[in-house]
Amino acid sequence: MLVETKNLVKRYGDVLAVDNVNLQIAEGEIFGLLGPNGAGKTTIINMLIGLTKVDGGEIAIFGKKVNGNREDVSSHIGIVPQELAIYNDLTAAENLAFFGKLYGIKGKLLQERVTEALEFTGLSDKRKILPKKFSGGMKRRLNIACAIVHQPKLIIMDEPTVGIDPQSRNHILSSVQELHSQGSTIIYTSHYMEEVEELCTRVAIMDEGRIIAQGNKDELKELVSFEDRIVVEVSTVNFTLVDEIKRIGGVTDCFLAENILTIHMAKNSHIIGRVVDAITGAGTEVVTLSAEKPTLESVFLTLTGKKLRD
Amino acid sequence: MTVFSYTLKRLLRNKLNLFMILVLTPFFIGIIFSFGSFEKNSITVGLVDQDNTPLTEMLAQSLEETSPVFRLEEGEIRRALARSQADYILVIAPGFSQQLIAGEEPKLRSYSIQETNFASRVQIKVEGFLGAARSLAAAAEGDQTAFYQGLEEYQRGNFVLKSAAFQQQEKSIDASLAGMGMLAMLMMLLSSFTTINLIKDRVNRTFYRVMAAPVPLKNYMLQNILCFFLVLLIQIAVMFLGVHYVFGLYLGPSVLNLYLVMAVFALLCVAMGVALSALARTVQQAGTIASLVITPMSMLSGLYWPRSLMPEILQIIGKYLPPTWLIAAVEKVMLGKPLASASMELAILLGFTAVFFLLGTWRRADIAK
Repeated sequence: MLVETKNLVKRYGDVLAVDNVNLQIAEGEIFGLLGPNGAGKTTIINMLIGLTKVDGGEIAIFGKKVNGNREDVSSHIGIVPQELAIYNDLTAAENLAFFGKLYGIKGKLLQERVTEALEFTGLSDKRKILPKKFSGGMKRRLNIACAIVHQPKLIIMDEPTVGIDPQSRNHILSSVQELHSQGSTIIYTSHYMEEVEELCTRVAIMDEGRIIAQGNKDELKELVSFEDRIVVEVSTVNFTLVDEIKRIGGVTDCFLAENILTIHMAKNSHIIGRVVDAITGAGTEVVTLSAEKPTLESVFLTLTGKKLRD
Repeated sequence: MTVFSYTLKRLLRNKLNLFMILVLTPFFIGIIFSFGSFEKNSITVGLVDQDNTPLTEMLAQSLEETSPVFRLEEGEIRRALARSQADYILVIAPGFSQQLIAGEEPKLRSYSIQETNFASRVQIKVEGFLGAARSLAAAAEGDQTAFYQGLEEYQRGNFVLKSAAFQQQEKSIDASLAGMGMLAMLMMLLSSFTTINLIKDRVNRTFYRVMAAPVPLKNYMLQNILCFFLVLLIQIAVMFLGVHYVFGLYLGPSVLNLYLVMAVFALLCVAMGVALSALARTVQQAGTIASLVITPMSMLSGLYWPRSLMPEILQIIGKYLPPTWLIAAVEKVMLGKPLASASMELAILLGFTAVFFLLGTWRRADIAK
């Protein structure tokens, strides 16, 4: 495992910010930490990079304990903080050169890495511009460039898309995928379910300092897949149709809103054909039909009883 | 030294910072002392002459040229001081003249009611006279007749003895002491560079990012401290050049010694900035705390006016403030005393520096917060 935590605990006074967290992240993964604000995601990140004292448990990264090896371990980690962490009085290239030098890169190699990081984030033509003249999205991209200039093995991104326009957000999401395809291991925290669902190979769902579920997306959805649901758009509304469908064995619920029928059925009951027959037998036609799968949002809702953005 | 070089680059890139360091400070101090008034105040000298030789008589006459002098016995010293009959009392022990003519370094004892810059004028006069006498004694090689003949010629002004340390007018010394006081106050204000920069780095999260890199906290702090220390050293040098060559302010017999004393104080200012950055959460908070601390501290330490003008209780409080010890050290080197004579004052300043550094680092245990 590239990253492993055992019974990780952090307390702030009486508040248990991180409660016995166990994580295993393999090399080459995009690992998502999904949870609402205040769930403990950033605290875990800070403990991983050795900036917050661990009250209990252990962290090992690259097979080394972080405690006692912070500088050695951190030299192979790139961090994209939640807030912008760039110098507004240094140009984009100077920002990258500064952070690159902190990781021991010098001379010609440093210049090459700076150029590569600027190209990667689409800021090549802005290298001599001060970030205070950048848009919010460009600043976010520079924030990422500063984290990857030393080409780390592990990149930790803490809510990197907060408060930016959709175009920059898409750019950042594709950058994450690009970094992953180049072999980087990525820890990605977010409270945006769609991002985690789109990007991550494995996900840990957090709430109130605890990991409430962990696995790949299918494994997580399996947790709440106790029934299937189909949505059917019909050509004409027939109120007796709802009762007809409810009588089909395996259907647990059915309701009609305008000309949309939502049908809940027992998992793997294979009764879609009978439902379609009932609809056409009632003298109406199927316009569209879709089977809905559970999302991470519904997983979170089921496990915690609250929405991610509550 | 990446943090050092980039912090320096950021500081010097800011035109306002450059203006403050290179132009505003020397200009401000120079203007004040060009138009300021540093007239002598009368100071009464009591003389306990237990030697009673022609040399000590000549010394008394020399003092009478600038101050009223009256003679008294050793047993009357306490009463004379208590009743303010004398501001400064000089005691010449028996055998003083003989030792001096023999080429030895006899000591004079002196008493004053309180530490005062005015006393420096008498000390300058005494040291100036004795400096000439020592030179004559060395030339006379122990011959008393030759020594006194030379001394009479010197008093008549028939030749000049080079004694660079004491050729300055007392007015210049007072102005220079006040100038150093003003510089000290400005240096304390400019220590806000340190504070503002450290707080900004913390607020804009670059400190967090630097700490996430393989950079130990003490390394980061040390490089910042070195950077701001260098800026203050440059500022002192610029100020010295400016006020000396443009405004003609006297910088004492050893500019290097004065510079070293101010350099120790510069380090203290940086430490104070570091401590303030740890106490304040925002730049605005730091500004408020700085104003509340620096102005009263400057007043109580005698940076605006001599401490002797303040009530006794305030003078006692002043002893617990660093700039008081700076002024004491500056006074010594301005009077031409060796730097070692100010070692106690410098040690106290370094002690304050250590305390401020500790205050500035102990609260940084959880960097991420």
